[in-house]
Amino acid sequence: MLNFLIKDYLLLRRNIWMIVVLTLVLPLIVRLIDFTLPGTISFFYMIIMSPLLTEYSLSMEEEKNADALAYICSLPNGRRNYVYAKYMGAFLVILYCLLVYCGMYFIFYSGKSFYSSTVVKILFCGISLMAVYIPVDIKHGINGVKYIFIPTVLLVSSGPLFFSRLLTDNGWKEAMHYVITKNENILILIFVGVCVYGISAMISIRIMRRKEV
Amino acid sequence: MDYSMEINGVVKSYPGSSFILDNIHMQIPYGKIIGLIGENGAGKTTLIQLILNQISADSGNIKIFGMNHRKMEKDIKSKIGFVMDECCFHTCLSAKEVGKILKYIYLQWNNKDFEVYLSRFEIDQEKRITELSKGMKNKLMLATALAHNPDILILDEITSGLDPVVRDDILNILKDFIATQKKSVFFSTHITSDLDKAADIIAFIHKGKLVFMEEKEKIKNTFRIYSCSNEKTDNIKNSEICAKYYENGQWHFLLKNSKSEIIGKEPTLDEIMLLFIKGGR
Repeated sequence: MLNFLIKDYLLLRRNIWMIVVLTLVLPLIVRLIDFTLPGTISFFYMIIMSPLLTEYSLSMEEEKNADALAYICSLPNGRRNYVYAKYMGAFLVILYCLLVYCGMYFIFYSGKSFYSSTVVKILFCGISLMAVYIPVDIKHGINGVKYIFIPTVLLVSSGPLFFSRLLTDNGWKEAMHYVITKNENILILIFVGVCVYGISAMISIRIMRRKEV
Repeated sequence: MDYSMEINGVVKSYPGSSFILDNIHMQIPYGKIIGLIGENGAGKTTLIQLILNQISADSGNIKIFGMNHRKMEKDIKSKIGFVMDECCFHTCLSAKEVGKILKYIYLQWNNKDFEVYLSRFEIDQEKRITELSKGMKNKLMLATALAHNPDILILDEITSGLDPVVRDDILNILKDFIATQKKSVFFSTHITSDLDKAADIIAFIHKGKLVFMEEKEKIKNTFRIYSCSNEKTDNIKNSEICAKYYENGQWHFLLKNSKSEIIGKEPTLDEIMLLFIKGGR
């Protein structure tokens, strides 16, 4: 798997710096738009956009040479390691976002309580998005994932004000409050997140095993 | 005899296509170079894709080193070096980076050997693949195939589109490779002169069917080409005719194991292919 991670990094090396910078800059942009918005809004953006952009960029690079996938399938354990590398790569990006958020938190939001089940919920959103994205990518390639990428980017691009209005609107606020207080058990959410990711990986391996290249 | 690879009754078809790789039986012995020839679209690449498990067969099985090629995939593939017909590395990578990726995949990867091959092929390690010529790309693929000391080399049209000097160089490398015992080379081409130079056994595939698989020297003794006018065809036994076609007022026959008094001429591989393609039965 390490070799395929190296391969992914080498393919993305021209674009990866953009994603690194974007992840760092997003919280600043959110804070500039509205100082009063909670830090979790910027974290939400990071978790959704960074892995999505990374994986989409990777799909676009891989699309440039379809024969490369045929070559990978001819290598020892090629199919399985290719899938593992995709999941590990997305996970590393999510981990990077979490580390950036931790850093940003202590700089900008140190007065407020760090502990928030919302952070775990947002992580769960990111994991779930990747759990859907990667199997579609493996099955259909770039033509399939654009139906996930474009709507997600459009929705997220509607701006942090959209989400803050959702959160402050009374009807939505009650619904969100219900969701947040109903599922306070973080460990269950983490466990479900791991299961979702694992099941997605198993589905992807199955798809890849049967894929004719 | 020991076989490095056995292809038993393999069938492959594609939905919506009339092409079918039909009941292929082949046995690849150790210590030989097997040349697979056929016209474009005959099924050479499909057969190689089946061997490499890039696609699945509808029926039949393939054994490599006596093991089922799907069940023991990891063990088998670590001993196979292969080259595809087009450069399959991402063009933004350099040769050095390709080596970096592959060295963690093959347990027997020898980076020193890889560098020796790159040096022998005069490939600049730092150059991006996109900057390499077609011949250089093919040589790079060959270097990656050889660097982990495989037991079988599977090459799909490696000499296609290359100049004679490069082709000769590659064929010499294959001969050096086979000089070590317990190695096999299986390469597909539609350039029959390459087979004349390098191959020990020739397999001809036409429209998805294996027409023959014979030692190169036996082919010359087995087949005869005979051309005649319409009036003289009565002398020819039907059972000896492999292929025939009529052109410019003349019949052209490919005869196999002819015991009649007809004196045909020894065909070249090109002529055998041409007769089967134009008038195969």
